[in-house]
Amino acid sequence: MLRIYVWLFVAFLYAPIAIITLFSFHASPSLTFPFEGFSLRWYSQIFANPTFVDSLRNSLIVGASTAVITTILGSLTALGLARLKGRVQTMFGLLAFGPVALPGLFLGIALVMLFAQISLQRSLVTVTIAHVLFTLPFFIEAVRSRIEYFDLSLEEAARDLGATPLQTFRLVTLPIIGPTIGGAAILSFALSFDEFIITVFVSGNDTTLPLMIWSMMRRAVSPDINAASVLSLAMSIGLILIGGLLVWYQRRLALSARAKDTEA
Amino acid sequence: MMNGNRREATGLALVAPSFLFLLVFFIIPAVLLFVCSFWLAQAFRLIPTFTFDNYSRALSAGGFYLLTLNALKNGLWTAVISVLLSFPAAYFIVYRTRGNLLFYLILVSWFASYLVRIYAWRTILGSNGLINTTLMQLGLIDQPLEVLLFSPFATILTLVHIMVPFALLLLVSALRDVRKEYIEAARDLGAGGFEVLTRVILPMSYKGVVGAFMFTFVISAGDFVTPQLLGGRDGMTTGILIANQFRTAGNWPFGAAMAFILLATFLMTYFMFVRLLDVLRLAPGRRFHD
Amino acid sequence: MSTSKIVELYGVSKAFGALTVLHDIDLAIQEGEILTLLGPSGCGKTTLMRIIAGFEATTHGRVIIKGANVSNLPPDRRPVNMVFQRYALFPHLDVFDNVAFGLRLKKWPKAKIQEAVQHMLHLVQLGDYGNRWIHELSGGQAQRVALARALVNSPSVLLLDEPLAALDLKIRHHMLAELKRIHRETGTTFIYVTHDQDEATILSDRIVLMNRGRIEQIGTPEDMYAKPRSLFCARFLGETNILSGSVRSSESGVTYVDVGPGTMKVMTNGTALSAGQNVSLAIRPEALRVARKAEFPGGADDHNALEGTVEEVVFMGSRVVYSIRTPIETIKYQETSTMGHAMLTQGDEVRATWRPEAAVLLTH
Repeated sequence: MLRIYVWLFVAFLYAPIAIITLFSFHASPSLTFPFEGFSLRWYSQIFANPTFVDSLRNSLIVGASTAVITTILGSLTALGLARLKGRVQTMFGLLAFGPVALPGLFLGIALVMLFAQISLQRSLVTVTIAHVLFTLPFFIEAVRSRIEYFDLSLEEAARDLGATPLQTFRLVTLPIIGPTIGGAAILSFALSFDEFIITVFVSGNDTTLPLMIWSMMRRAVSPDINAASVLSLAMSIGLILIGGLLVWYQRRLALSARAKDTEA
Repeated sequence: MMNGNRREATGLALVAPSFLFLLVFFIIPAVLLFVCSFWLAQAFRLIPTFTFDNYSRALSAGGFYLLTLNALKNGLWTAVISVLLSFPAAYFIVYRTRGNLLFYLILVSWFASYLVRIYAWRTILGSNGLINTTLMQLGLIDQPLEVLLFSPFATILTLVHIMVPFALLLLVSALRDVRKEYIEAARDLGAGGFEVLTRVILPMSYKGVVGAFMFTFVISAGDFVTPQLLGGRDGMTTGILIANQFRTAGNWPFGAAMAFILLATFLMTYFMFVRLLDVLRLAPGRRFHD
Repeated sequence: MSTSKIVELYGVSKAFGALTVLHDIDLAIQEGEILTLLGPSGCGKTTLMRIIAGFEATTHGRVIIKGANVSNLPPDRRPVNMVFQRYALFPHLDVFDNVAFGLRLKKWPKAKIQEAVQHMLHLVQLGDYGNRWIHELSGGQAQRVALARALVNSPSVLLLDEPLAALDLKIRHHMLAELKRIHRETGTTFIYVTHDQDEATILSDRIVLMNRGRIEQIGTPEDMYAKPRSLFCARFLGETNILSGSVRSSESGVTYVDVGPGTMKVMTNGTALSAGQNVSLAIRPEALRVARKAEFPGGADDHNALEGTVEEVVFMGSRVVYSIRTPIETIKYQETSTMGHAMLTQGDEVRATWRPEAAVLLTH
């Protein structure tokens, strides 16, 4: 019973995605059944659109910058939180979680207000700032549980064996938390790539992919929106899968290296 | 003790960059927004002053109540439905499966972008959409059902679709804390399935359930894109109104004031929800004996 | 001890997929006894207990409790209660509400619950702890609450799943005494799972020694110690010296076994043994008599003997354990220490002897 329910649940989650994916390959502009054959025409149409190519590029730039900045800030924070105790840790944990506990709307208008007051021109830079703010809490949450299990005495053992703080980080800390950080970095990229609600307030003249899809949606229902949506979907889901595979592959590499060592 | 202090000092140094970032781009803007809600706007220019005009203007307009009610309705329905739908799935994932495949399958769908989902539901629910054309082809209806799209129904359905993976994520991590042996202990002491749920699982996963509910509630009640694209004329919400003040050249202080009123209603909802769970005896940390 | 059977298992087996963890177990538990399921990890003891509690279904076989077949009943409808390994005390309830949990489900009236819970908390010596939260308890206290929570339901059988594993040594010994006292005061049947032979011997009326999903031997702790029926049993309970050899001759309860260059005499009764059969002799370290060769009293023909050198002396407080290297096997010898003084020193040439009745002959 429960099993059937869960599969229905999954079907509910994936059905709309499956439907627009299907119709993005539809040979006719109709968005209803019967299905009249496959074609890539909507994809060639969307790639011929310079605005689409521009916004895709912008989204990639913002996503990558966001991932890098969030990873640096977030990893430092997670490592720091593991060293803090009691009230300081709780307080900062709450603060770091704050940005996602509020609706995106609130963050968007607050940032617009700040940028206007300090006369910071809205651009991809302001978009990146907003995205770091939005992804940082997710990053910290994703990494934190892993780091909380990370035994600080491992670092102390490395120090005791003669490693400098930097060597300790490179030889002990990073290999242990590395895959988690990599996964969380990809998560940040994907979240940034899809972010719309805050972006709509803080963007300047350069549009991102969600902004472009938004303006297309406001104009008309046209099948090339399907194609754009599917491309955006493929991008984020593909990235998440790659991230998952990376973590899995690294684990396998480590295991097979160990097997080789024991054979030798 | 030396060691402990040094460890804490390193910790503080490590969190400092994030703290600075959050200070500049989160705390200061939030405070600024709050201060601004007491300012006035004239001819698109902000005039720093201290007045409750924006608040009284919002609270004295009948329309504002209606829009806020719409926002809260969207939030409440979405939160209730999302938590109810995800709970059994989370239960299944935590207690009935070994691997994580199903969990990841659901989580991956979370990364189907927000706008794309709205768009997907619009194509499905539209008057030329999948449901209407199918129903008409089957001869069940003559005219497309207009209520499907541009209605609170469409908004809530889409918001549920957007929020459910997130609610599930929170519930799964909460249920993982309720180790199997607690359930076995309850069974051993004579509890049936329903009693295990109400007396052990729910009180022990309380934080996660409240978290999942509030998260979905706040995000959907504050959302302005879904109601704007799918909600129709009757589906207008405070969120749309606030967004309009900031996107088209509007009245920022007025928008800020409305945003804080909306936040206040969220807080009230939180306290009411917690109180409700307490009354239903689903909250932990209360004694049942005198 | 009364002799009525409270739990009966008939032909119980359990398989998880292709892995069979219990093979055709028959077992009867007497009312009022403390019965221990003892064995190494993975021997099936916990699975067997969970089958009695109702958390695992049997693949084959029947579980009878108080004469009723409960094989198909869920745990909440079986008249047994369990003390979990990590206690599983509900963290969202305080001590009182944890103990009252089962009675509330039975819809007992408030006053009766109050009385029963208080009585039980007193029994486990936590009379004033009702209002404490679970996280405020020490390990030993949590253990007592877990006991109270199970016992307050007056179960026909109390199941204890390695309940002392999480406690440190000192508290563990104290809790063993407490368990004995509580057992005496309530008269409830205890089924106790452990991998610790000391706990088993201190606590049990009877021990069920399990290995690889089968019962190796059932008996009182004294029986199991003195008359192990298999090598596994001899090795699992206490220290023992094993000498392998083959039968030279066996008649009328006396068997001669070739061990290395010598021949050992051992008492056997009933067991048919053929010459040349491979067997083992198990001799407890404290059953040996050891003295320096020079000081060895002559005579005593019926004593088996091995000569060797003291290789190691381990002082353990009340006793001293020696490792003695002999031409066949390094054997252990144990004696009571006299005021912290060991009789032998490393390098001593010694002679170890034992009476034929002191060894047990094992065929597998």
